[in-house]
Amino acid sequence: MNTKPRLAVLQFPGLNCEYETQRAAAFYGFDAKIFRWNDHVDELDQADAFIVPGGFSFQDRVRAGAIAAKLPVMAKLAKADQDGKPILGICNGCQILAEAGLFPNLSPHTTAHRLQVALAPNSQENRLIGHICDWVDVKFNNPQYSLFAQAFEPGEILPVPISHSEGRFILSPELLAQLDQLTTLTYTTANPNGTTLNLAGLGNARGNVLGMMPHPERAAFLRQIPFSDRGKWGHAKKEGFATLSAATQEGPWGRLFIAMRSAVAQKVKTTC
Amino acid sequence: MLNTVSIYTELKNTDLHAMSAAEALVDLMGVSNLKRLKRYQHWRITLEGDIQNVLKNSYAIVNVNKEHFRVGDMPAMNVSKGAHGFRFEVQPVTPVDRSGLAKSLSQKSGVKVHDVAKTLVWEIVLESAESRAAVEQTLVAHILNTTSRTQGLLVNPILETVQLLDHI
Repeated sequence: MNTKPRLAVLQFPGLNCEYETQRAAAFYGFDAKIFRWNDHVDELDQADAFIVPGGFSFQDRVRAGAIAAKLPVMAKLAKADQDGKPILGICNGCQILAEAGLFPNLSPHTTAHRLQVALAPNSQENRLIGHICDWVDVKFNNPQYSLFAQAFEPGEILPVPISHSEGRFILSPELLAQLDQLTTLTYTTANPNGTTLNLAGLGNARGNVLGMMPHPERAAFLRQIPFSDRGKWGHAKKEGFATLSAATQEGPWGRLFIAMRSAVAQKVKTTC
Repeated sequence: MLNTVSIYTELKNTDLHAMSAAEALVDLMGVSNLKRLKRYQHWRITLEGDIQNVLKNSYAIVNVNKEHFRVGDMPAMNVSKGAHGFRFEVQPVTPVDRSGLAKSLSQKSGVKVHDVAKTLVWEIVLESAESRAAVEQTLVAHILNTTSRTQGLLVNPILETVQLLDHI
């Protein structure tokens, strides 16, 4: 009998990170399956956790994530949010969840998922700067408010790649006033895209949804960390390569998947 | 003499952005009375000289292989009986600095370009027996301004503003 928690990696037309996301989730203990946007949505009821991965759903038509957010499968995700299941949006997934109002969702006890945050085109001093693809450092703030931040050390600096054109967080005034009650992920290196308050990711009020523009699945294994990283992870990679162990060692973001898995296990335990 | 010129461009081939938006509105959001959804880019160029020199020599505003364009006014909108047509202009809340493009246009065309602004115009035709004002109200609330997963698509009010073009 398969006792691994079941994770659905949603696949929309135009996404391109679903397989590596599935691979990372499976490595960290999930029974991870790719779920196509047009599969029978009731099958999603069996999933314990969800990831909406990165890419360019519907070619970013209208706005990044705008069309995908309207699909029937997103109603299922809204229901899963109501049930407190972990939902992670990465890059385009973050944009989709934002357009669907799944985070920050400041009123978690209502069924209304209102739009409170937008991901705008990257810009510096009001000049559009286009697509950015780079390694950055980020850290979690107010980690107590999100299940996703539970496996990290407080204030820990984490290297992670970003690759996006529309990653500039813009917050509604209502959200700005309540930001200290949410878990945030912020860039600790220079603000790469003009984002408000250095935001790279944002949780929801209930703590079970996280939208993040960086790609944790691309830093889930030590082998993915660049040699140029000057922190402890770059050092570990150099050492790991010397002993040929880097290929299978955990990377900085493996703990994100572990935190999701722990949250599912905790939920199952509580329910039982 | 300094003057500001409007240029409207539209794709010659199928506009996939508009097509996806229309499909989302009709199939996913239940806007069954949508008859047409079209998109124009609106350039506002403030310059000293002839706009045709800028268009011909810069290759940055219009790609004539892919786009139709009109200088001045938008083309007239054909709306059949029993339908209402609207045009809405969408622009970012924070204006985009296009001084680099203005400089490039000046260099390529020899015409002094002072300012360039770009916005998006949606043309929407809805079939309805209701009054134009009632249809406009529904349009703004349910099709334009995105407030949730089920309401609004074409405009994200957190980062964009929308204005009805009433000169048509």
